[in-house]
Formats: sequence, structure tokens, C-alpha cells
Amino acid sequence: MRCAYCFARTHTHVPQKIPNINFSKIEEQLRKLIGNNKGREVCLHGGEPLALPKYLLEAFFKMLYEVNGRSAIQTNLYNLDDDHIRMFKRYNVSIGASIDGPPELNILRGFPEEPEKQKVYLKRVYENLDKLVSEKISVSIISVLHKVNAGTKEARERMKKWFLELADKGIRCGRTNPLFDPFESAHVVKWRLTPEELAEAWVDFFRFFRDYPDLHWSPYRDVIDVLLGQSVSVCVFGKCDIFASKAAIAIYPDGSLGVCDRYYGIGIIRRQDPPLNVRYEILPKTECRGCKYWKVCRGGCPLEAPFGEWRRKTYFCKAYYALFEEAEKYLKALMPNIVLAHEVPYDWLERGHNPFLGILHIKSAWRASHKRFEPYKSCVQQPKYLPQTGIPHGDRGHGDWTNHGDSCSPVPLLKRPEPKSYEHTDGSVRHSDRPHGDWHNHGDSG
Amino acid sequence: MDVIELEPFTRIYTFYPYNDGKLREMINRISRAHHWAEYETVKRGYRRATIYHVYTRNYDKDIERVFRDGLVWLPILRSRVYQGFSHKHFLVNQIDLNTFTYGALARNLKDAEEMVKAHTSKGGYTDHAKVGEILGYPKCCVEFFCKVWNSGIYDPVFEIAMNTDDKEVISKYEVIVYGHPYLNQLTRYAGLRVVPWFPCSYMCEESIKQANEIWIKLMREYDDEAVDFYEELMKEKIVWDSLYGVVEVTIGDKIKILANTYPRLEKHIVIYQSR
Repeated sequence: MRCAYCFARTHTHVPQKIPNINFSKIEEQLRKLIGNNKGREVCLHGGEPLALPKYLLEAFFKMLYEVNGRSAIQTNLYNLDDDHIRMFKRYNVSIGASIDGPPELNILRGFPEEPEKQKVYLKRVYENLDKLVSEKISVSIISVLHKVNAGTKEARERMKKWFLELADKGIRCGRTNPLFDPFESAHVVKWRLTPEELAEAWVDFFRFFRDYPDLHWSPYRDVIDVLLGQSVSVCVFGKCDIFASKAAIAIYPDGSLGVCDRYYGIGIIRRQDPPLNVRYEILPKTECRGCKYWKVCRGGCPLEAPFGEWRRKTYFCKAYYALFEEAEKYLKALMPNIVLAHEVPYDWLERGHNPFLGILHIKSAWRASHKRFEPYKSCVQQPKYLPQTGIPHGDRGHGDWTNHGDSCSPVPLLKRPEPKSYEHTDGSVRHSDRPHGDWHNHGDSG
Repeated sequence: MDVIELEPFTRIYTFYPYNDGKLREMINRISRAHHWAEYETVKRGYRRATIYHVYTRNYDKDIERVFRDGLVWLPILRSRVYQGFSHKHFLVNQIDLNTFTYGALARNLKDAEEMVKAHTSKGGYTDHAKVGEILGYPKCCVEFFCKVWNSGIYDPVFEIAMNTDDKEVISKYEVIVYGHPYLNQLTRYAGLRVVPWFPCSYMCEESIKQANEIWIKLMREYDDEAVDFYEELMKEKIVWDSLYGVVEVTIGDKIKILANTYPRLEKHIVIYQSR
């Protein structure tokens, strides 16, 4: 395909021909990993897995179906045909589609240097997407954000329209991942957003998605989750040891266990459990020292740092900060008395306590007379009535999850009503629409 | 910046498609051969003493070995056991199954006592020059070690490279060095080494002499195949980089080693090519 931003052009250790595949060893590993928890997220990842011969694909799907009951595949849809659709249905395969927006913005994928071939590519990709939808196969999207689809306001407006077009088809889940190449290859860097540009794009999209409760796009949902102290969030906000990535366990052709595919530009390394915590000991003492959002951001994806230098924080630090700041502002505008995860002691959070649940123990989410519920200030353990989740962050797969169940349900899309002009404000604080004047403690009066 | 003080660790990773089990086995064998050579150099009189850890969990076997070989062992300090590689010990008062005793192994009591004394002679601090001398390390290397150690750098892989003549300095923090395969210290976190000291340069003549005349011969005596493997491994490009107290060592496209190290605020890189 020679996608314009593919790091494998210059750096790859992925075998260039199909290696010997030890199916029995792979199945043995799968059974060990899945245990009694059938239905886990197991995904065929590439490269482009639909470039595999069909007999091999079917063998994988069959094995996964027998062991796990379902599977997923991350694909650009170009090679998709009716045989694949038959397999998807037969073996309960859901699809993660790699598409960067509407055709006019998806031009960095699929033969970007050959316009005629790209025309064919784009035509097939969108036809195949429609075909999957019409066949009622579960689809979610991964869009890589870059200069073309997120670098200008016009492009972002078109992307927003596309998100709604997808929703009309019943596709309501996806991710918008920033383009990044750990090797800073010139052909990739020229399409990469700067941290400032990404900040602008993410904040813009966050403001868009917050009006659509039925659309579930990441990282906009995830920042809310982690600020609320929810125990499950996308891996970039979790503690990730790239040598034992929790969110992505790869199985290599020889059956050995590997790490997140983001590492493959550096090498096809085998994992070693249990994960090391050293990055999360280093960063709060170095590059993330004093950062307001350290407890929820944790330095971002280790391989998003310059040159894949996992000991450092993400290159997109400013963008993550802006997104967290926007989400915090939004949550606090809704509930001024809310306590968010970055405001509680780190060890308290690490023990699985959920600060957000404190809102249930006060009578008003905003009145100043009902102060924020902050149990961590008076006791080490969370009170019994606040459940402890006890699950660390970062245990959810990234990008290719498909088990939302709502990705193909053609029900009308909800949208919040357009905000009316506020009846009054005190400075920048928005009042409720309930008649007032009968009480004095609005919350903004001290 | 706060002080970065990581719990000691060493991790060894292998790359697909190389055989994981075989690589690990060979690394272990090299490490064992090196440890055996350290002991044997004292037993056979190549040097006066060495440091010998007696693990509480295995004390009977360790002490039996010392007695049967007619050697002397004197304790210096008690430490808790740690995983992987460490540049210091974690002193404990009480001995339990999670501890070991760090001590001096020698052929006679006088040498062992001298080693113990060297560890506390400088007002409770170690006299590194004396220790180096008793251990039989080359004088030039002992002097170099004392100099870098006194400047606070306890893992001077980069400094040794900069002190080597045959090198290409890429930047203030990156150097390509051409060194002798037996003097390589970049992979020692996993036990992959021949000489047990930091040489003053990766082409130190006295170190090469000792390595050839004593160390590699003993290691070969213990495990010839493992030494062959070590020599093959040293033909690979070895990249050592250190940042924020964690060192990453990559041996060709086969092996990666991670360990705690001296914390550097700028990433330092040494690329080692054996000559």
C-alpha cells in the first residue's frame, strides 16, 4: 500500500515473508491466556492481515472461534471480499477498520503516490465499509490524526461530519490516535501534528463529542473515565511496561509471547512478566515532576516519546494536558463539588479507590454549603460504602475493541439540545435554570 | 530533580525469531563460568583474594566448598538479597533466609583480614585502591576506578569509553568505541563478562593480558561452548544507553538487557564494537 506515514518503510523487523507458523503452540498459548474467560478481545493485527492467504486467515479465525468464541481483525478493508465476510460471520469476527476520515481526508493511506491506484483503493474501502454495515458485522474505526485530517479547522469540521455520517450507518465507536513514528522518519514527521496542533484538534473534537452521548470515541471518553477514577481506561493512561504490555499480548508465529505492536519498529521482542514499574518511578521525579495530571496521564504511551524512548514522557504531552484540562473544566462546570482522580493522593488512587463516588455522599453537586467529599483526607482506607474497584488502569485493549455492542444498531442518534443563551452568569460561572433568589448559597459566593 | 533510587533489577529479553530458551541457557552458562573463574583465580593463586557471597539459604554448601578447598572466608557485611544487579548493598542486622553475607575469600587469614580492613579502613569507608590491589586488578584500572568512583559515577561504562583511544565521539553523550571482546563491561548486568573489573580503557593492555592468560582460559576450562557463544555474541554491535537510572543494552538483534544504573539526566550512549 505504501501508506505515506508507514514507519515500516524505513524501520521494520517484521518478517517480509510468511514465517513458519506453529499453530499448535499458538493454540496452547491462547488457551492459557484465555483460560475460562471466553470472549476476550483477541485480534489479528498487521501489517494488513487481509493480505494473508485466505486458508491461513480461516485457520486463525477457526482456532480463535473454538478457543475464544469470537475474534477481531484490524484492517484497512482494501482486500475485503465476500469470502472474508463469510468467515467473519461464521467465526464471529468483528472489525476494526483503519480509515482516517472521509475519502478526501484518507489520502495518506493506500498508494498515496499513485493517484489512479488510490482512487481504486478509496472506492473499494468505502464500498467495503458499507458492505460490512449492510451485513450487520460489528465495525469500529481507528483514525490516525495527522496534518491532513486534523491540521486545519476545515478538516476537523469535515471529520465531525464524517463521525456523524458513520453514526448514521450505525458505527459509533472509534479512536483518533495521533500519528507518530518513534524513529522521527522525515516522511512521517511531515504529516505529524505538533503537540500544539494535536491539542487544538483533541479539544475541538472533545467539545464536539460531548454533545453526543451515543458516540464513543477515544480518547475523549477515556479522559473522562480516568478523571473520574474509573478503573478501566485505554492503555495510554495506564501503567505500561513496553516489555510486558498489559493491554496487548502478542503471540508470535513460534508461539512465544510478545508485546504491543507499537514496539515492532524497534524489534520483535519477547515479553517478560511481571511488568516493571520503573517508568512510573522515574517520570514523577523527572519529566512529569509537579504535573497536575500525572496521576491520570502517567506520561502517556511509552512508545510515543521521541525515538521510542520509553523512559521519557510522550511527545504529545501538551496535547494530553490540554485534553485533561478541557475535560476537567467540563466536569467541574457540571458538578463543581466533584472530586477528580488527579486531586486525590496517588497511593489512594493506586489502591483502587474511586474519588468520584464521593459525589453520592453529599446532597448537592454544586452548592458550596455541601463541601466536597474527601475521605482520603481523614482516613487511609476507603469507607465500606464506597466500593473499591481494585483494578489497575490500562487493562483495556487499545483501538481495536469491538464489544460495545452498539456499534451497528441503527437507532436514532441522540444529540443534546443546542445550549440556549444563559439566563445569567456571575463572571464565568454558569447558574442553573432553576428559579433562584430564594437561597443565597449558589456555590460561587463563597 | 528528585533522587532516582530504583530497586535493583535485571531483565533479559530475547528477540524473535532467535531461540529464547537457548539464548537464556547460554547466558546463564557464561555467567556461571565467570563466577567459577572468580573463585578459581584465588584457589589457584592467581590473586590474593576475592569477594565471595555466602547466601544464608545455602550457607552450608558454600562454607563446605571453602573448607574443602582449604581457603579462608571472613565476613564483611550482611545484606538483604536483591534481584538483579546492584551497585550497593542493603545492610541488615539480622540474618534470615532473605539475606547473604558479603565477605573476603582468600588462601590465608592474613589476606582475608587485609581485605576486611580495606573495607573499613578509611574512617568506615572503603579504601578502593587497597581493595583493587588485593583483588589483583591492574594498577591503571584501580586508579581510574578510584577517580570516577570519587566523582560519584558508580557505573562508568561511558567514562571508560571516553578514556579509550580507539573511538569516535558522535556527541557529548554518544560514543562509538572499539574495544577488546574480553574487556566489554556493557553486558555485565546479565553476567556476560570475562574480566571482573572496570578496565581503564576498553583496550587496556594489562587487562587484555590478564584476560588472555588467566580469565578466558579458566572460563573455557569450565564451559568451552559457553565461551564460544560469548565470543560470537561479542561480534555483534552492542548498544548501551543510560537514562534516568535505567540502562538498556542491546546485543545485535538478539538480546536486550535492562538494569538499574547510575542516574544520568541526559541519555548517554556507548556503541561497542569488538576488535
